[in-house]
Amino acid sequence: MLFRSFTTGRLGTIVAFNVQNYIKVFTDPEILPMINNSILYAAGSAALGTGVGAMLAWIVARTNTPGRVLVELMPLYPILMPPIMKNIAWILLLAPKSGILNGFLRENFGIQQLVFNAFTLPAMVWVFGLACVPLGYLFLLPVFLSFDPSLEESAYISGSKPMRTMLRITFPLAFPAFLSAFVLNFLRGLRSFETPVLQGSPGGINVFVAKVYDSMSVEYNPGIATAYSTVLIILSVLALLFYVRATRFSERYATITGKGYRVKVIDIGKWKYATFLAVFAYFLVGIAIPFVVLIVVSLIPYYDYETFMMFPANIDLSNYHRVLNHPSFVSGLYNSLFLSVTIALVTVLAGIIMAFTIYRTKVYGSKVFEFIGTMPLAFPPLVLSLGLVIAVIGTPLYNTLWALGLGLFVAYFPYALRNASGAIVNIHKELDEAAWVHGARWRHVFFQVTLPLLKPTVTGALFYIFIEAIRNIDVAVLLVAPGNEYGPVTLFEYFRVGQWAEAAAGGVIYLIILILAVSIAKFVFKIKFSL
Amino acid sequence: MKKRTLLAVVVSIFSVTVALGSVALAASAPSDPFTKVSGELYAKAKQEGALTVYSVWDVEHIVAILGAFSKRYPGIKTNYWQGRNPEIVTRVMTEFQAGRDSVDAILSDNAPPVIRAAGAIMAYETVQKASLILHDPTMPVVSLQIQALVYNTKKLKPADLPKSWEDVANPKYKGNVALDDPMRAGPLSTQLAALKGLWKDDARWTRFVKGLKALGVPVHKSTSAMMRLVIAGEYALAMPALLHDVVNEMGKGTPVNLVKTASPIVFARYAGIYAKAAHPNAAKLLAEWLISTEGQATLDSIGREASRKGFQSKTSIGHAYPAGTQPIPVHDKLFLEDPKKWLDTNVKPLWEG
Amino acid sequence: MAILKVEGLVKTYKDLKALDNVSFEFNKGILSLLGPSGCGKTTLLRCIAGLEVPDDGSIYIDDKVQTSIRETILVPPYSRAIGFVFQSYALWPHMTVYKNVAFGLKLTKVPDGEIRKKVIATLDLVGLHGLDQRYPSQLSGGQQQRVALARSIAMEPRLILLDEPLSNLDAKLREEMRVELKKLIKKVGISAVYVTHDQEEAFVISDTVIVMDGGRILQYATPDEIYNRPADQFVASFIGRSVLVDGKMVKVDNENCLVAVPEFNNAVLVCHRPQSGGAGDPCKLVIRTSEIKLNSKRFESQENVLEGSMSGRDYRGGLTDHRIQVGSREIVVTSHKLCPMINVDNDGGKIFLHIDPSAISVIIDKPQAVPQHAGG
Repeated sequence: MLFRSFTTGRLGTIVAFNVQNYIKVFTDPEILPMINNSILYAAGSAALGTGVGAMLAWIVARTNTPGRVLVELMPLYPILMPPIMKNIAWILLLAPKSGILNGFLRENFGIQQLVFNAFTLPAMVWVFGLACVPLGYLFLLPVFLSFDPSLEESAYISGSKPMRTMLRITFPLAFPAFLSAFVLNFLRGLRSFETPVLQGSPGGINVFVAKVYDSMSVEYNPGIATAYSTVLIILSVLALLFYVRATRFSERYATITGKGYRVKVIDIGKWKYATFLAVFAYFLVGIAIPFVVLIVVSLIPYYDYETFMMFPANIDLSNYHRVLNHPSFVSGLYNSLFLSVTIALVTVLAGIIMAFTIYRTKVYGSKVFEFIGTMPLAFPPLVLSLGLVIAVIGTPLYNTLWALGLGLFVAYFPYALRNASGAIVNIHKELDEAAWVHGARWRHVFFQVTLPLLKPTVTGALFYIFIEAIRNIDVAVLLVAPGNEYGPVTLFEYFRVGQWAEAAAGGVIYLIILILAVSIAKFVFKIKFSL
Repeated sequence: MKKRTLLAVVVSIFSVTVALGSVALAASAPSDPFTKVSGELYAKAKQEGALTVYSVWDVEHIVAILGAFSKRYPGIKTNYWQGRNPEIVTRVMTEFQAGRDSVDAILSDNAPPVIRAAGAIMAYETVQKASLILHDPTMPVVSLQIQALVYNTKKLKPADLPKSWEDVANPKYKGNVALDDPMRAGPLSTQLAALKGLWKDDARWTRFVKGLKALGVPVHKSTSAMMRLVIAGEYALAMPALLHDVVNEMGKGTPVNLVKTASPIVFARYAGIYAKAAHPNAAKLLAEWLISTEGQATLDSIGREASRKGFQSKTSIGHAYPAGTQPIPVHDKLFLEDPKKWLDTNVKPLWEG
Repeated sequence: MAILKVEGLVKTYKDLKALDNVSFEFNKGILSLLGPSGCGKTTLLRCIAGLEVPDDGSIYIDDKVQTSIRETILVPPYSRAIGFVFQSYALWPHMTVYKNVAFGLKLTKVPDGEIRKKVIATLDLVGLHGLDQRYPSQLSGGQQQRVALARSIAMEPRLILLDEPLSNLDAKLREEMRVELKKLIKKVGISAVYVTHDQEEAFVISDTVIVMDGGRILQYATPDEIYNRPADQFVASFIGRSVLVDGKMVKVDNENCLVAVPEFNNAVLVCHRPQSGGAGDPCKLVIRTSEIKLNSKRFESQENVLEGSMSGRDYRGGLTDHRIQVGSREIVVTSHKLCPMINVDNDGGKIFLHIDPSAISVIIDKPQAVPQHAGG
């Protein structure tokens, strides 16, 4: 905890109050439309993504939808695809004149109107919203899986039909976890960079983060950038306050109680075909379609509608050659695998300890850490990265792998904390108290009761942070020591330099590696990603 | 906030010469200034023993360049870090303020001037200035950013092509131009600064900027994304594209080509030497070597533009454009020192007014 | 020597006084804390366990101080050596029955073999023989309840605390379990504090009962005393099948008093004389309906006989509820098939009720002093 406040304290030095910067920021005439756009975009995406994620989690955990076992992992695959890959795929699909979908409508149905437009706010919400689904799914799945069925049964007895029960009982009880995921996704949306830059600016939709970037690159002015970030921080604090307030009576939401029960699958009747279609549709738009588009793009010499439709007559493997011959392909991949696994483990454990301290002990001021721990989310990656550099530059850690690890830790701690908080709230307090009165001290309660009960959540968070960390560049970039190749640079520098075909090839290779890793983990080592 | 220190060094007039049809350069003669200075620098650099480079270029390119350099000058351990311009600026400035000596040379276009303006660049004038297309007395220009006007060959017939940059502002291209955001420190703002200096006619220049605005097209923040969208057929014209990108894409059979009548805009890619460099001689040696014919050949092998007069490569102006094409450089002192200020004074009133 | 002593306990949540200067002493056996929800009984139990910290007061277990706000002593729950059975059972769903029960023992560094012996013995004792490798989710509600009990007695504490342990069971099982629970606690020979809102449960299970409301102790006595001599009208009405009516004392002599009841058409009832009060004082009568005799014909005696009419009968298997309108009040009298007190053969007709003076408690309207240390 000391260590965290230290980091945050150092971070605070760059947030030093400077009236001039703030005046400059708040007198900017564009600020109101920008705030408006940012909120619409972030809240829209978060609502779409978390909502769909929650629905999928419920379908997988609780319904008799056909093929449930098959779809268990499906909502997770999109995390494997970095956000920018999705942006590129959807731009290719939805671009007004050159997009695949409009082209298809034009060629086959003679529709000349430009039905789809990637460069609009709804399209931005669509693309980023899809990227928000896995987080919603991961946060909600454990809740639904550990749900005391008597809570639902009592509703049935009162004459409530299954679908109604879901809306009136099940979802409200999953509310804290839902809100946790929503707030996280909202903050991710506020600071996301790729979608606003690739889809927003061309559509004339300016959001906040772009300003932050401009003030960092055009004039080296971290003060202005931080002043802009302050607006994001205020929004984040508001979002968090809202969250804390809404989940104030956390005991109400405890779904894991000391009464033993078996999680029951609900027969939802003919609705099961609808839910199956929903999962399948999500699979198509969330993974299959963008992935197929990227595979094709990685295999053709360049993208335009005609060339795309000529596939597979024009297969060209040169993009793959280039990626596989990349000088740091192997070493970078190894470094990032090692670091991501370590960071995921450390961060998740720390997040649980913190959440435990906040919700289960009476340590004075621990609630404050709920905010501090979530703060890094409010900073745009470059500003956060700068803060971290300032924090470690005077220490011997600088330019070592430790500094990078620390940076990733700070960047992902909020996810781990939110995730663990949402889950701990769901564990009935009496389970802890029972241990406590029967002779257990905090460490016993934590390791023998809380931690095992959090297992499904822990696996989800581990998986998520691992996947995110392995491809992190934005936060890590300033902390990577020269000569210390960090994996994402290899595959993802293509995205950064804007070479879409190579990027697609790199992305495809990366996805194959990850899917293999996940499958091996699941089937060989029997690691379960859910209960 | 850090107080902006104005650069004491006067940016001298850029000497721009176009060397076309000059004789192919033979291997450096013994009298060549490079041969002379490189011997001294190498001796000192070997003492220093190491070299760290920050660069915006692709990792593949950095690795190729440092590989060739190490082969030529053994005994100097090279290291690199790759980041985008804002990241390079942020990192170097933070290290500078903390008194760190973790970098020696910065290979980039837009980052070094910003760093120089903050006083974190060690002035160094290359001994090979006579051979350069663009020269800056404080930072060796090792390569060039060459802006080209590019069109989609499926979308525009040769007859409909704009003749010049100025022509792009013609209302007939409305909706067909992928326009870079002129208010970011990107290629378009460089172009505007270059044309303002070239024309020396503010009314004409104002007309041009207003014409671009009148196109009513959205602005982009990534030239490479613009390039992909032009290839895809979303737009017919890229305003602007970068020559090495164009040459690379044309090599794949992409339906794009240069508007050869629009003179390329040139801007320096520097090897800036960090003010607190631990290995300044190694950095200088790298800069000099990059400007030498051997270094330029290495740059050419990875598809990067040469900065040396008359150096023939597939990304050279001489190769891509007809004989007699005059590249347009940026002279504007304010733009080079503080691009944001220049944009706020010159472009902002027109663009946002 | 008292197993449990509580002195001046105060606990306030925002504006709610959960415990308002609670003091009592408890020697041995089973003590019930009885009261409606929100009366502070659970807060009191949690304070005893150390799960809540009171604002003021002190708690002693076995004459050893556990909580003392003034002396800033607060023994953590894990050092109080007590057992606790939670309302939700709080069985750890990821552990088997065996592990649940062995949990506390393992933390005391008892050798494994001994733990094994103890756990198996405890499980046998609570009637869960052979179920040690099951998970809680594989057990019925009653079995889970036994596991929770086994877990709290396995460590052989001197005192166990039970927080409405039977409230999650169905009615029939609840009745069985409360007797069994009582037998078990007696057999193990430990003392217990039992929280419940069900007076019948409290009476069946405990040796002494504390009735609470609004964070205060209203009466601390044996079940018999509470039933027959409720300290005040709240206790009287809370402890069940009784009718509460307003009355006015008409005449008082050495043993008895006469009370006129306006709601019963101003009928005058003979009652045992209360400790205070005189003629003309308003009072309340608590009439225990289970002691009322019914007859469709007149009783021989005229004393304490009321006349009413049968408004309905609800058949409940072995029992029948008779709803009788007397004056402006409806009284429900439950009869058993073989009950000699009730002799009713006609519906809708006249019914005569005989209420023996011993079935009536007289409460003088001004509140009495609450006895703090009754027997027990």
